[in-house]
Amino acid sequence: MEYTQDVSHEYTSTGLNHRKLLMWIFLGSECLFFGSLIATHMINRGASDLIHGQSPACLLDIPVTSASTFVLLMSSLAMVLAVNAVDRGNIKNLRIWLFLTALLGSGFLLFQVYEFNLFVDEGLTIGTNLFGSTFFTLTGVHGTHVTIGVIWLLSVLIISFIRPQMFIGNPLNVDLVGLYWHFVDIVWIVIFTVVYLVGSFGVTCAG
Amino acid sequence: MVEHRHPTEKPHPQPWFYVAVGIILTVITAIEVAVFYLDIAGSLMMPILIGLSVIKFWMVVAFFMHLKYDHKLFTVFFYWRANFGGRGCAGSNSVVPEF
Amino acid sequence: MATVNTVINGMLNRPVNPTGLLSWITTIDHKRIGILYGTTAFIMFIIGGIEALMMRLQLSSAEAGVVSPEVYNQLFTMHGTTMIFLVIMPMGAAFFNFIIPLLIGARDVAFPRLNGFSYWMFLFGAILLNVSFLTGGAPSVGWFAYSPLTDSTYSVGHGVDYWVLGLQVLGISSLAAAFNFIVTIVNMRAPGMTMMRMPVFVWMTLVVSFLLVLAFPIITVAITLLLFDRMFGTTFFDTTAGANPLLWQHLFWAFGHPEVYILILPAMGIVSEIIPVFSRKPLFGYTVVVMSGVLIGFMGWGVWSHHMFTVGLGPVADSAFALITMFIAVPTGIKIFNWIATMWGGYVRFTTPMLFSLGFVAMFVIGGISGVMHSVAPSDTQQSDTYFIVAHLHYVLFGGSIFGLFAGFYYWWPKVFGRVLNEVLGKISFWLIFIGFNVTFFPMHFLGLDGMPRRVYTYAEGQGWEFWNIFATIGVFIIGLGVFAFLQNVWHSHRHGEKAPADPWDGRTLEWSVSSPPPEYNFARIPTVKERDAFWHYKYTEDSENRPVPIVRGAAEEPEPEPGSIHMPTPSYYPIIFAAGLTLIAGGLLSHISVSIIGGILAVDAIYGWAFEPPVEPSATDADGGH
Repeated sequence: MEYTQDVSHEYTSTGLNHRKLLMWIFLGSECLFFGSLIATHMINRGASDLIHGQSPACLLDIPVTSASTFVLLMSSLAMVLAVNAVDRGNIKNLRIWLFLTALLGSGFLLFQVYEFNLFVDEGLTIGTNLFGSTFFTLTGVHGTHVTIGVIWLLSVLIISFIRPQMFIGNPLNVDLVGLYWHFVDIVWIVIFTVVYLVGSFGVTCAG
Repeated sequence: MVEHRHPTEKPHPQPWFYVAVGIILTVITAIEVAVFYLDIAGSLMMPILIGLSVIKFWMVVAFFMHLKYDHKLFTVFFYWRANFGGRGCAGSNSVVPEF
Repeated sequence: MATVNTVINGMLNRPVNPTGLLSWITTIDHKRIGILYGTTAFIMFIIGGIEALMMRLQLSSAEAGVVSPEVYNQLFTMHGTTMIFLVIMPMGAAFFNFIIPLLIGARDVAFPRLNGFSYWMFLFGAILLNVSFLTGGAPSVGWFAYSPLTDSTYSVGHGVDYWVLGLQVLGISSLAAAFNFIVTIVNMRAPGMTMMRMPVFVWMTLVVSFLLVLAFPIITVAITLLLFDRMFGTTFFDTTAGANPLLWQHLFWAFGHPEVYILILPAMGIVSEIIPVFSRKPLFGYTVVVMSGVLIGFMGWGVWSHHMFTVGLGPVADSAFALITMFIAVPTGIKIFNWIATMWGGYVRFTTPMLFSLGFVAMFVIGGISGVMHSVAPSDTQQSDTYFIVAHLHYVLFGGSIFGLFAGFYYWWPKVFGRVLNEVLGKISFWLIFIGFNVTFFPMHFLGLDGMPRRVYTYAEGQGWEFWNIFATIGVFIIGLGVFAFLQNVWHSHRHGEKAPADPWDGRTLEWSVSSPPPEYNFARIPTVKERDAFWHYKYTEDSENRPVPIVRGAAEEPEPEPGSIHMPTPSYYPIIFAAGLTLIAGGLLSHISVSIIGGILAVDAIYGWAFEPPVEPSATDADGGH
């Protein structure tokens, strides 16, 4: 057989890093996963028993959720600034932005916990009706993804203190958590618009 | 293993660019909420809201996730599946009436 | 700093040059993982076969009492689930694992530890599923588990929960493997191997991997919703709460139909490799065969409701799905013609792999024809849930997938194990399996058209079904003899078989260019590929009448690798620990929450250990121990 000089360790057919490729493919499949969950909610939310004599969608609190959406969006901004920092070799800024991303992400989770408690108090639980089942499953799965993301971010943050040299000239690890984090954000963008805004459209609620 | 930026990737934008994108995203969200509350669009509300969220989705993917500047293969892998997921979502929505 | 490093590197020291059992537990070598997959899947094949045998014994006479109805229901559920998820899919994975890196000129897959993890998840998922027999009964709801039969009112006991959690574990295994193979095939081909120079088997693996990545999230959602209904009181499938009664079926078959293409495409890929070699001709219409495979992958998404012709979807939906289902026969038919055209005018050798490949083609055509008969929605109304369907599905899955996989066994056995399988025993085994298979399943067409329903534990006397039922049962014994002959062959070759040369079949593709079995690093030097069937063109040129003429070369040995130039990934504990942790989390949901907590701790420790452990242990010259 004909041989070239032995290929270097980092040779790839496309020139792209394996892990980055993996992350994009993984995120693509997660689109399908969340798409199914969103579809299941949208199909089933109407066929639900009423809560306090009105549609369960009346429980959705748009102002509060707008705030939590804003918080998550800003966390994405913090994330991209973290990636930017590591690109420039600025480890100190990397740590600050990673911390802020995790903080804002946790803030979003607190909003979610608050909202879930509110609904349960009003009588809407995961087992109450189809709206409840599908809504809590969808937002719960999303929240779990956010939680995993926060843990990942904090782990990277801790490593940036213990082994900062790992990040010099090597943005891949921050890049990867960044891609995951932005994905979690865009899923929420879809959920906010479709489940909360479109979902409340045309629903009559008493006060 | 040291990983360097792929040679064909353009140099990354300055921080202010990302802040600008963040501001635009916030403004779009505010518009969405305004359109919802003011109820000015009537039956166009759903397409407007969905259209705005598609723009936000695309901006985060293209700029924050850097997809616009990266190798086309990533776009192929991601959008093919996002397409599938989106179609599934939209398709099942239209097939089964809501109320 | 040293202590911090130890802590960061996880609780366990990396195994250094493990031997024996430990080397198998910590292996991340694709070749060993392939052997593990293949061995485990074959054991599952025997188990699934025994389940089938028990069913056939029960059915061989009217109103027999061999097994109770409840046990019978468990048997057909587990037989289907086992054969699909624990035999055909992992057997395909066995081949992907061993052969793909060799076919593309790589030294391993893109993510060796993820590869090991996939195997352990498969093994543990298989165990989890089968443990249900011992803990109050296996699931008895059919392999496709329709709701509302599966809800907690109608399915009391844990059988369905085992099914759900077992499939979750298996799903993670398949997804991880699919991701791995996509990145491997896209990113690790030898220099010069463009996509259109890849062997067809590699293409089919790529299509299958994409199908897996898209289809498994759907069934994940479906079984998660089912689990929530059963465990947390949600109402996804509860029609009294307003749920759509067809939701389960739509979700399941949207997964289920692409799944059957996942089951058949690897076999088609294998056969596409074997027929050219034993016809001494290149595959006819390579581009068309590849495109057909891709097209089948796409079209497979549009046909799912042909499994639902009898649920009342309405004439518009029924017609649409009927038409698309008929059209999907076209790319398959194209492949069949290409295989035949490959043999035409070639110098055909009827070795055992070739016999199984031809058996595949013939049996799959029969299965395909009965499939097209099903696609006619009005006819399907009679055929649905009868033995006619059982006949169809076994012709495509046994006559198709299993025959293709057996062809692969015989073809690649010398490469994998370094021993030749006996051809005489191989042919005996083939004919026994072929005849036995047809004796078992062909009469089921008659039984189905005669009205015998499927999934019934018995039938009344005087229906006129006794003769073909007992005929079919005899067939099972003939198949059993054939499988036994195969096992005899394996045993004999292991003990006394002659050693296999690198290229026993005069092959066309790169795996035949290395020794049998290959060295740990596969290729001493990564080859540069200039055309399809690269190895063939290395061996032969063509004369003016397109006949192959061997190229005479000096006795140049394969070059030795430069010392230290090849860095193979190092073994690791974390794949098996992570798999064990995840399985325990699932198992805890069926037993006690403390089990899940232990599983969780194991899993988290494994994730961190895995993340901090470099794929290749750094040598002294590396400056940092980074990823």
